[in-house]
Amino acid sequence: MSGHDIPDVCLVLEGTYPFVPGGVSSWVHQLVSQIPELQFCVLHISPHRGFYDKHAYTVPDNVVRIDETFLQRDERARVTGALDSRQTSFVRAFCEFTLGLCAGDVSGLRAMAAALDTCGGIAPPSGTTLLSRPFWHELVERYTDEAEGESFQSFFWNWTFVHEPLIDILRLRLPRARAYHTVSTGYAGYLAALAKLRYGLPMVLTEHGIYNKERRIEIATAAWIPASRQGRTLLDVNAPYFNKMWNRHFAMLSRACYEQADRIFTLFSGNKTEQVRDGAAPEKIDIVPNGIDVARFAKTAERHQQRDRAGQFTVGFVGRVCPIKDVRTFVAAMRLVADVVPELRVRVLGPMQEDREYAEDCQRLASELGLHDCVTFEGKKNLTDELDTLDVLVLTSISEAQPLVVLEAGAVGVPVVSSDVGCCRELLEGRTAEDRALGPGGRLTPIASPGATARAVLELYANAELRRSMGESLKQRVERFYSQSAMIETYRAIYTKLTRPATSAVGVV
Amino acid sequence: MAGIGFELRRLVHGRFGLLDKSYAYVCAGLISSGPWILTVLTLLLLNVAGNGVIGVEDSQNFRALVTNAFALSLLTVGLVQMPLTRHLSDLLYAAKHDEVLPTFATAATLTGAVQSATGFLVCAAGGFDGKLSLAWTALYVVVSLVWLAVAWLTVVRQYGPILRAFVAGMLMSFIAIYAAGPGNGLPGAIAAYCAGQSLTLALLVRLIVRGTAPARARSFALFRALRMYPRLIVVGFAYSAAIWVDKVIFWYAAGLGTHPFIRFHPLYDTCCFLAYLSVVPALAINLVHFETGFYQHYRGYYAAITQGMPLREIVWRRNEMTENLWEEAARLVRIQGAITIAAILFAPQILAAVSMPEGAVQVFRVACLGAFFHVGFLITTLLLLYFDLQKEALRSSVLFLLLNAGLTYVSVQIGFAAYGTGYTLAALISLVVAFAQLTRQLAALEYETFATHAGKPPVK
Repeated sequence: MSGHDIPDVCLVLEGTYPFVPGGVSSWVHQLVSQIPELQFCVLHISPHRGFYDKHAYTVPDNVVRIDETFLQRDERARVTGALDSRQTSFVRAFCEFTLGLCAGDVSGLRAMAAALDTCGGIAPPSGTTLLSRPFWHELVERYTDEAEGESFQSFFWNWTFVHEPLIDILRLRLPRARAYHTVSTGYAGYLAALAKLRYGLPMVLTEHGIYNKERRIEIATAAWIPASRQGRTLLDVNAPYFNKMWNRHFAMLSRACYEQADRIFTLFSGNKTEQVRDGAAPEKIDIVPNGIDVARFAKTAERHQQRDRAGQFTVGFVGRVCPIKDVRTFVAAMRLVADVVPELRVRVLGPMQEDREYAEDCQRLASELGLHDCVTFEGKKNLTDELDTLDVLVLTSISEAQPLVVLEAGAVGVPVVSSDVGCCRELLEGRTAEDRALGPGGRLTPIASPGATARAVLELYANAELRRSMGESLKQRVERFYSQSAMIETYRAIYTKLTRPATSAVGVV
Repeated sequence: MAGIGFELRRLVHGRFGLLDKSYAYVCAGLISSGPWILTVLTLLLLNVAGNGVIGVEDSQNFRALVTNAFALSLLTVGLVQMPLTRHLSDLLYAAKHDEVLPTFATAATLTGAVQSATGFLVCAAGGFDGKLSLAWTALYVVVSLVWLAVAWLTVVRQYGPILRAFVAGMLMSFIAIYAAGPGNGLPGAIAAYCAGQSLTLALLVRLIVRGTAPARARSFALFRALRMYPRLIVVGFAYSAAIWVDKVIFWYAAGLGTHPFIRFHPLYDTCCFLAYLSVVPALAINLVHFETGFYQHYRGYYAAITQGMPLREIVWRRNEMTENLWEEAARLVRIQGAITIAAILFAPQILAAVSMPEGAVQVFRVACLGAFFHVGFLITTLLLLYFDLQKEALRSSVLFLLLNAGLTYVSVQIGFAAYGTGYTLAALISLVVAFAQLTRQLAALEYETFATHAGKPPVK
């Protein structure tokens, strides 16, 4: 316990812990639960007041406070007459900052932090800034420079909506802590960067999925942008220009966070490549993979070693039955495997609700290919009960980050045949030299390639020793490099360094 | 108000020739400034006609009492008239036609109740006897309802029947006064006059009922309108109050009358009323041309925004609109200027025609100039409201009220030579201020449009 009033670490989060269940939220929950000696506070960014009504996690006692701020506050405050001097300095700094963002320069954030200081730490209502004359003049200038010929009304609304959250989330005084840790770039990264500049404290970033990339995909589908408010006109984000405007905006927010972060952590080197491309300094980035609780699978691993295969060869597929997992390729590959392996049993474990039509499609394909006897779609199952029955786990996903199921298979000692996406290569072949020395934990295949997938599965079918050694390699790799405790220790060390810097040896332990 | 424009243009460009054209002008003038002109005309006619029927002293008291009823009712109804007009325009824009009539019913019921109480209170305070109290309160309530109905007449848009309703009421008033004769005294004359106004009211209500969609339910949404547009309440009140404040100061500082509630200043009153009549052409021109020409540009500007046009097109249309506005203003100054100059030149003849003393010539001339500025000020204020610049409209209306009160008081103190100059100066200064505000706001109209109105036209 630090014994001070100021929490050790402020986690800056966006649409996740403790309100929304999910991968990142569970990760945060693990982190705070397993480092009980540090005090945390959470600064959570929600879409608007009342959007989340209850916690999805039981927050441990060392999370001493949770503050919520909002992307949209709907304070319809408007400038009446002249701005006062504090407001003027804020508006000017904000205009400078946004102007910089358009030109690819994020250094204006420093002046923003200073202006926030003059306002007592709380920004004026977004209306005061966004409907002020200086901001209007900048808007018109931007329009003339970049969007001349586009609908001015659409430009106005897009421009306003783009910038409104940047002010609305500053309507809350940034909580004090010894260090800031944001678990995404975007709005949370922007807040954390401002907190660092304002209080002169360390700030680190952990990025699981690449925020900027995810936003780009979302903008392309564009369902998340507030489509219309009462009486307001539709935002035409699908028009090429506005699409570009939003993309640039998020790219620049990411860059601002990368620039201010003292350290950047991500799950695998593929993410690092993207971060560097988006403007992060490579020397700041460290890979800290996610870990799993290996002990939880100890019994399953034991059963796997001692099991009686009863004359069957079992291939498992674990994941949601949806297009991104490319289950059709998996089914087609199994047809090819079944031609050679008469005792084949195929288990598809994973929820079917996400895309029912696709799931039905996959089932129909299986029976059309004459696989109805050996392929079973079993829905979501508890993996500690099921993984021991598998001889091989197959992944055919088109896209992945760091798939947990590969780690889980490894914890049990099941070899994996996986498409070469995300960090699957790192997981199966090793990342560092020491890691690679453990040997391969499975085979990699190109995406959408039933033939290659089938060949890899058949190679493992034909060679029991290879299956055993690959399963063993993967097991060792997971235990050494992907255990939850290793991940926790890494962050414990990071936090210790951040909150107790050698220079200010206060000596409170 | 905006909706009339379309109909008027049809009239102007129709195949009816000059007669129909001038007919449209008369209608427009009457509707846009209906209550004002009606008051003035009635009072002038009473000036000529009243004396012979009910005796000189009663006649003066009669005119003063009618004037009081008009002034006080315009003032009180003026509190709600602007927010209600705005509310009606909102209803029509939202295509809630079935709420138009219920809104009138609610507003009329309330006005009737409040004004009855107010009327009796005034009579009690003035110590009027029973008959007079009844007659005066009846008149007060009826004319209040007429002013209220005017807001709904803009929905009806049947100018001929509206004009006929007013004329029929006036004729009926005079016939009734003659029929009542001197035998029934002051209360009889007022009751007779009230009968005519009641006829007008009945005809107007019939027009409203026939001209609007069938009622759906009762509507209390108008209370929301009153809360939503608090500035319009002040604008409406300040506007009505400014018209009367100089008269009231004259009545009490230099006027005649033995009863504290029955005061008048025949010379100043008549000069002002006549001067008001001289600017009726300006009001008519304003309505016809602004509603047809300017309104098209106004809509074009907002259409450019809502249809997603580029900024340069929006700015171009704003410039078009502004230029059109200046053209219209120049036309107005030319025509009304000519009429005002004519009125000033022929002041002796005009005054002789209504048997006013020659000494009034100078007061009348100053008042004509004042009315010229006043009508300019009125139109500028209406334009401010068109762009929903309520704050600016409020500022200039209140300024006019204060200036008119202050400068008129000073002019009365100076004496006869300065009569009318207070009003004229007040109108001139207010016109300049309002015009400067309009010009400044128009120069940055895009900003105002987006920052305040989310790119939507304030008047539909």
